[in-house]
Amino acid sequence: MEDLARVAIEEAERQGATYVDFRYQREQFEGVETKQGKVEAVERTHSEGFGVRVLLQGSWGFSCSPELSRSRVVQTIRNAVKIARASRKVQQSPVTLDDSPLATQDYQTPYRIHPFSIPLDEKVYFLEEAHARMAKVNGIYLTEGALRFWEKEICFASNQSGFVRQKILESGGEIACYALKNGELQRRSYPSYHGGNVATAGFEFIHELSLVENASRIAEEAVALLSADPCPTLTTTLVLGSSQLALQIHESVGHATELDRIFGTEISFAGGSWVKPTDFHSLRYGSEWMNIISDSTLPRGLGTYGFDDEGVPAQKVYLVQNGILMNALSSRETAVKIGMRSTGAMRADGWNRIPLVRMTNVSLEPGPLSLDSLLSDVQKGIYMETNKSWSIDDRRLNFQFATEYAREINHGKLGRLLKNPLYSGITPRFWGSMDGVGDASTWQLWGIPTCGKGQPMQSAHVSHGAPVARFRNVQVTSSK
Amino acid sequence: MLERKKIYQTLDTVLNFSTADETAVILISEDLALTRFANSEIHQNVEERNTTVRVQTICGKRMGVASTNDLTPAGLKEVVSKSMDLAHYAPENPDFPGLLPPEPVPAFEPYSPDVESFTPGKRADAVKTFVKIARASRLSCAGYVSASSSTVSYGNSRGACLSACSSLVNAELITFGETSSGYVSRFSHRLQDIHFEEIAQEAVQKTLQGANPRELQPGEYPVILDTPAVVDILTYLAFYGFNARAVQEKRGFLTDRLGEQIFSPLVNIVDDYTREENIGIPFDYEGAPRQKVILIEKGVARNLVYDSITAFREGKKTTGHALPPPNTWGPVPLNMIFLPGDTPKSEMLQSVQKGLWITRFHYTNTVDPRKFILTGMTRDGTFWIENGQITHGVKNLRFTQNIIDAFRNLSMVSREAYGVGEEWYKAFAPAVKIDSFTFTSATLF
Repeated sequence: MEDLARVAIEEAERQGATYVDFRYQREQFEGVETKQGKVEAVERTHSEGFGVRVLLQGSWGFSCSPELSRSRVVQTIRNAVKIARASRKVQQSPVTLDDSPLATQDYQTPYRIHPFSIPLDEKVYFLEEAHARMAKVNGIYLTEGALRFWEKEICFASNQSGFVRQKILESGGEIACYALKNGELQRRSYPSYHGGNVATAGFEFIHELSLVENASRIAEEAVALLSADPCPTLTTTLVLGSSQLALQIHESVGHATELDRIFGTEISFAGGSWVKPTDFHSLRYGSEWMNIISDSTLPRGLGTYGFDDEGVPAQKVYLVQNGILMNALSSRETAVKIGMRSTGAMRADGWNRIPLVRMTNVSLEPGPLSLDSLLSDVQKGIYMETNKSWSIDDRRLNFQFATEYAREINHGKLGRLLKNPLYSGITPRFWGSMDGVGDASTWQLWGIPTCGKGQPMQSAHVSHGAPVARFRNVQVTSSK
Repeated sequence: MLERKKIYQTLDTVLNFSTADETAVILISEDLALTRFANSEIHQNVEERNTTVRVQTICGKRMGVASTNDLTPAGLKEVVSKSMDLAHYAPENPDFPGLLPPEPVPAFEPYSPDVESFTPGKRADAVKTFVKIARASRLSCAGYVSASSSTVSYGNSRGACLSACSSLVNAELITFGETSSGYVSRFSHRLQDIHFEEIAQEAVQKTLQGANPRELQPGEYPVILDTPAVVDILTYLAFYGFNARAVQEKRGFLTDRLGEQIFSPLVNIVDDYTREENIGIPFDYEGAPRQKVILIEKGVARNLVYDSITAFREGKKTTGHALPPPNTWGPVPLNMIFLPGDTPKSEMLQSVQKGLWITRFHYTNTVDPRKFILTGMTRDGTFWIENGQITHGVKNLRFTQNIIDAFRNLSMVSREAYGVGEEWYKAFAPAVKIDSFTFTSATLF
């Protein structure tokens, strides 16, 4: 592969490119899905190829091929150069790249048990057993389960760096059940919606998920929700559980701090950002309690790697510190425009896609409060957990989330169950109202393997660490 | 795209490698070229060519699926072996009815060779046209133009052997002023159908018309939903409504409601691949011929779409709407058409005393799939209508709406209609007038 990378770099330079990178990627996926305890889907996929990016007089061209031969590499480079030449026809100013130090070391996800080595029946056991426990609960009429595993091997080289490799392994799983009564449907998921939970780890992570151990509980909760009161409509104190807060971070902080969105290059599809390029070190994003970190070195995150798809090493940076916007998720091209260096967040979802600025592991740092002390300061309020529905405007300001589960908070204690809860807000007001953050015991890392962005559409695997947190004066209601 | 001869050879090779009881193979070969622009310059320009082979093997009632893009004999042998390995160890699925026998499928290929002439240079010229027209009104622009062609082929050990190719040209443009934006999107299987200057002029007009938008209190208003907003709702109807599996699992809003008048009598929706506006192919991913299915007739829920598994459960025949295996979501109508009405858009506008014109929604999502409550934001062209005329732009609003109620309150359907959509879903639709639509909050722009 190193030979092919060299061929690509030499040919691109011969064609007049000032920058070229070569990325080979090989991906394998295995998934098992059950419904009602029966295996309905067993799948293995494999995709392999290379992509090249060239900068010709400051304009980008990208081309790719699944065919790994010297002649195909030369042809692909020539095509990328032709495309870059066309891009120059409509260019305001030439692209420049920052001077980030580039990766020199290979990387591999640490793991104990490779999931592809585990027999299918052992994988299916977890899902069948979880089904059996969910189905035992009176009122449950449908159960689902899934385990998913990805292995990704990447080789990267550019005319500004050496040749580096990395191998990423991801494992995850989920279960869910549905209760139905008089036309009303309630769903409970574990560990969360959006693929359950996924980590850069081996099959040991599936054991740690405790799918079977939690099956009865979620089934009982789903049935109980059918007879719960609807969440009332009011402005109140809202305490968000870790998994829902993870999605809140994803939608209202993660995407909003992607520097390509801030510069408007994602506006036509996924949208832009309310953050302006001049806002760094001055914009108040939230309250003093708000400390958001992008950390691609965090163990087990889906945004954990040795280097990004531009060869920039993994790193840890504050995006928001004590409520002030400090940095962005960025690339070499976007970072240089704000006088900073890339935060190593360029990621592609395959050999046939260009890297885009994506989330890594974007987390809210834990605070000092135990769950009990966080709740104790709430006379009246609502606790919500497990996302059910999500929507936010194209500048990441107006959001509305529904969750599967809610409890009333009364004089500092969790009270009656509430169904069909949803809450809404405006990003800086919402984060500005945060006045309590749970401690490390409430903090959990959530892997989301379904983050969409780009045209052609790309799906990224990202993680968010979140504690429990408290927000004041939030509009809550129930879906009617 | 792969040549047909190579495609058929590959199908044969896979079927010959397999020793399973039954084997099916889906081969998808695609070429894609896409030029993306923002801030009035090209910032992304990509081309891709790839072929994926998906192999489904069946041993008794056990099934495995594996896929690869390695088309060498060794790669194909390996993918068959992986698929059989999975099928060998998978538990039995008593609901699996087996592969379908071959059936005749009409020849139909919405393919135009002119897409191949949409080279990087021509795509840049199209963007240049957008930029020039936007600049003349002091606007910037963003969007993409793309050309793709693909061949979907299906073969199985019962003798089915099918192949159909299609092409797609897409142009999406948003023009931006200081305080407003305007969106226009068109697609066709022919490059010659895409009129870049007209697209730019329409987007510019929307942007200028929406400048200095005013705030509007959330509440219930009459609305005219333009085609892109209607297609957004149709997407959710396709996945959550007419999907037989969603009904069998009681997840969908049409559960126990077939034959019922659920929408206004003005609503007529069909799934029909033969309408060239939708770029459909004549068979599904199980090799079954796609049927034309009447989904909503004069507001009455008439039919669902089926694949072989959902049809088997009800003792019916598939309607040819299977997605690629393994598929736990269920069948989906991929070529939906909301039939146009007879009211010109101008007349619809004149009929509104006070209300809103919505161009497009953003980040729509289900709040409750069973009740069919959706939420989402307006964007890129939201206007206030007063006394039958658009008077000014409005800052964007969030809707949270039971769509069954909304379509029941639908009082006009436009004569004008066109196809619009994103990569994953496209449909053909008119604009509609809805007498009451609920907006639950507003945003800051």
